[in-house]
Amino acid sequence: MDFRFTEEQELLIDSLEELLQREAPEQLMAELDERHEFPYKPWQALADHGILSLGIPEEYGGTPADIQTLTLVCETMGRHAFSLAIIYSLGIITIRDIVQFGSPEIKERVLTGFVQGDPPVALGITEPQAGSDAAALKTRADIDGDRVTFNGNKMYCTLAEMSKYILLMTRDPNGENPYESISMWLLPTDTPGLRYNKLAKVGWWCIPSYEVFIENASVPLDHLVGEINRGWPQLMANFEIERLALCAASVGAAEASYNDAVAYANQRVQFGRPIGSFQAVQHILTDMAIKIENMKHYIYKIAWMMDNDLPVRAEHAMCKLYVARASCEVIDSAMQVMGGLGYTMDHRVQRLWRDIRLMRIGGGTDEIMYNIAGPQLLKRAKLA
Amino acid sequence: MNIIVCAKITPDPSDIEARGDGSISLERAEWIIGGFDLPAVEAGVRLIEAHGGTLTVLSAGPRPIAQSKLKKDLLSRGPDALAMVVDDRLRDADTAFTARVLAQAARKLDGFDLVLCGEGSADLYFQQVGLQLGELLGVPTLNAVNHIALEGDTLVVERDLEDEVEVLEVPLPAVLSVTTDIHEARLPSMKEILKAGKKPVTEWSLDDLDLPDGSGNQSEVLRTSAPEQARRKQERIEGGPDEAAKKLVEALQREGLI
Amino acid sequence: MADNDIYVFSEKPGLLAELIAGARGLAGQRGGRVVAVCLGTRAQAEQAGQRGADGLMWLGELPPDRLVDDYLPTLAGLVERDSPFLVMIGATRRGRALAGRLAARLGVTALSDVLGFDLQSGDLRIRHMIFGGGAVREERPLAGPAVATVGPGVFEALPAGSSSALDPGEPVPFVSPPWQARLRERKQRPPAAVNLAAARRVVCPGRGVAKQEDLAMVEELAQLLRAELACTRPLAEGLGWLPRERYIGISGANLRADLYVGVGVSGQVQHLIGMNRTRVVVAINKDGSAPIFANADYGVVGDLYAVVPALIAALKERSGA
Repeated sequence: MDFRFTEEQELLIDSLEELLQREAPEQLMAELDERHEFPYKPWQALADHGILSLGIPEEYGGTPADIQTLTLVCETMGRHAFSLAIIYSLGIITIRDIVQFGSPEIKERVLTGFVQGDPPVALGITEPQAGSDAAALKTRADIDGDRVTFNGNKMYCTLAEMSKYILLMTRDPNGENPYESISMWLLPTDTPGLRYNKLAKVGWWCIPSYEVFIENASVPLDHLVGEINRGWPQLMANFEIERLALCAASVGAAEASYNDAVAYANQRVQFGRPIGSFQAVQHILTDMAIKIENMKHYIYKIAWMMDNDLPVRAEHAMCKLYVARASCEVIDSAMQVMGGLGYTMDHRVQRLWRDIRLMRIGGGTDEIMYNIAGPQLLKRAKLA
Repeated sequence: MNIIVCAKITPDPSDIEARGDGSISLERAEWIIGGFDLPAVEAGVRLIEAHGGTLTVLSAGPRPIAQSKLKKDLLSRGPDALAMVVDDRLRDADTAFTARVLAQAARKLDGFDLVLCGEGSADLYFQQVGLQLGELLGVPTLNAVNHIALEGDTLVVERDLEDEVEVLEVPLPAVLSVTTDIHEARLPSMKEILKAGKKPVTEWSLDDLDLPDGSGNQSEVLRTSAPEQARRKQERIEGGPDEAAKKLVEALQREGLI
Repeated sequence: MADNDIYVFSEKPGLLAELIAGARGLAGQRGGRVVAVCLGTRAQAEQAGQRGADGLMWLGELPPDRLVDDYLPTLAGLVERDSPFLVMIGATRRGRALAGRLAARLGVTALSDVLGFDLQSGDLRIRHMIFGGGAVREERPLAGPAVATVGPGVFEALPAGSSSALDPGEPVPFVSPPWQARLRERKQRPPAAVNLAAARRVVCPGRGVAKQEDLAMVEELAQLLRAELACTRPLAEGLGWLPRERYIGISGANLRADLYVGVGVSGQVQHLIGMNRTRVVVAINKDGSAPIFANADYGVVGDLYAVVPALIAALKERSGA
């Protein structure tokens, strides 16, 4: 079993790390976070460097890339500029859905702009009454001739008005099976009838989330992405990669916090010696290192399985469950090692600590991950 | 335009290790492309992008320079091809030997209009090879170039000297050593990294080059040792900013400085 | 003929004087002379003689349309004719160009930025820095004449009038070079506002300073300490906050000061090489593991944005301001 990356992957990571050090240095990311400002310039630098072109067809300015490469990109970004990694990961599902299911006109419209630096397409699925129970969404699409009119509410829609488009999920209330009544649409965010209310969150400060009020917002019918009533399976097709990308970003962030903690432990002197010389601190750091190793191997394995077209239904959920919790634990431990300094706004560990917590909730809660994996595991045991 | 850019691949000088006997070793260092050479590659690429032609990177050194990843790294920065003189007899080659090898290799390539070199190598930084190379090739050669423009058939360069800038028309073919100011080296994009592995690489040994007699080192290294460290007090001044400031002022007073 | 002589050249009179001084002991050991090769006015050539040279070769004045580099064939002709055992060239950019081209013509290697020369049983040995300041290398040329470049500040010039004047005579005939770059224009640089090599005290901000505006506070500290303002290389070459003459490092200025105060300087090797001949080194940095602390006499681990204002206040209080 060869655990090494390819030379191309290594070169890409080196190049990306240098880019991030130049364009997204810690000082800048901290400032943008504190000002709750979207990282436009670093994002544009990613675009100019071709990072946003990965996984997009060449005819739209894209560069073919396997999932392992995408994973490494997200992990590297997570380590240097977690916010950028999150933004990038959130775009994976919407952009890939468009690549897979969008009409040529929609692809032309969205993908070329994205490769050149547009913020990712936002996902409009969650609603005040539909979170984990996503299929309980009520936003409706009423078709009249060659136009479709939307009405409803979306909640925790990240990026929303900052994006050019929302990938909007609607449901036909008359459908028998909710999972076969959901449709997917490309909704330009400046369509009349849309109102945005920014939410105040404890973290992800430079990545705004909104409540979106949709009142008779109307677009041409050709804004349908894929097929009517096929929205749910279309969305699910790329949820696994999205979760993997978020996992990779989280692993990067966890490793960043570990690097900070171990450097601190070597330098901070208490009781006449560096605190890293105390067993208690060594135990904490060792546990952190073990979790980071585990998380890395898990995401690389899932990426490998996906690249080899192996089903990952239970596997990816288990990975997401583990990585979300373990990265929260690692970053929390980092804060513990760094003590008072870690709790102040002067140091980045507080930002990682606030930002990582959402990983256990967003992209599918821990509990939903159990719900996906659990039955699968028992089913497989029965079939064996 | 046919451009050759010389780049030296060396052990990373930040990986030096001090041995017990005070000597310095780079044995465990990773081999890297010289940081001063990358702006030269960039300068060459930009000239080709503006005026058409081909860019070949030329490098000479012992076996480790031919690592696959290093070749791809060089080729991912815009050149069309790579030529390498790979021979362990080039380990610790001095500037005279290196310049002769590069000159012979440049003659073997398909002719050139311009050869670009960086300011100096990453490990030794003697800032000499480019100039020796130009003189050996018998063509105009200048250093400290921080700006190159092709105006029709005339190459116009700016030479950044201590007290002034010389604006010069340089007859081609020429060899120019460029400063790091000339351009910021581009970071390889994924597209370029993927294409790199498919670009042509030519590898020669010294025997392929027909070097004239007497080519070889013109100097001998006697010893490489750690520099003398000034012994410092290393006193830490404790306390918050105000307290530390006071103590520091007292220390400066004791030292007779204020 | 001249095979114990040392030929010394620099287009900069000050540097030429330093090299002449440096060459004297070495030439003396071999029983040879120091011959200054001068490019400049007759008066400048005469002055070179007064700085300790035994012999003088005057190349004449540099005409406005000619480059210093155009004198390579003339210089090479002299060296090939006389075979001195060493040619010392001042390590300016032009000097390096001449040294490299001369070495190639002579079939020898150019010994760059030499910090010290030595004779062992009549054999020349030199010392210079390599690995970005991480090591010192001793080398010996295998063939002669040896060609070496020497930078400013390595040797100390003899005062004017140290030796009797020499008559430059008629200029050495100019040998037309096989190629010439046509000089379109010389763009003047404003004269350097500071000579760090001569500064006795220096305050040096580094990357720990977040914004250019924050330099004002560092400048105030420098003024209170009656120090010059220097900086690390990234602040000059990368960020362009300060002119190049102010950076301390291997290719930048080399200090021989009484006091150096590093503010937000991490202490990269290249910078340390430039400043560690200072008598007292003070470091202020947020990161206690920064390499500068091992190279400092007094270290304050703290945020410069708190420590520098406190230091300014303490200094003002002390002077009763």
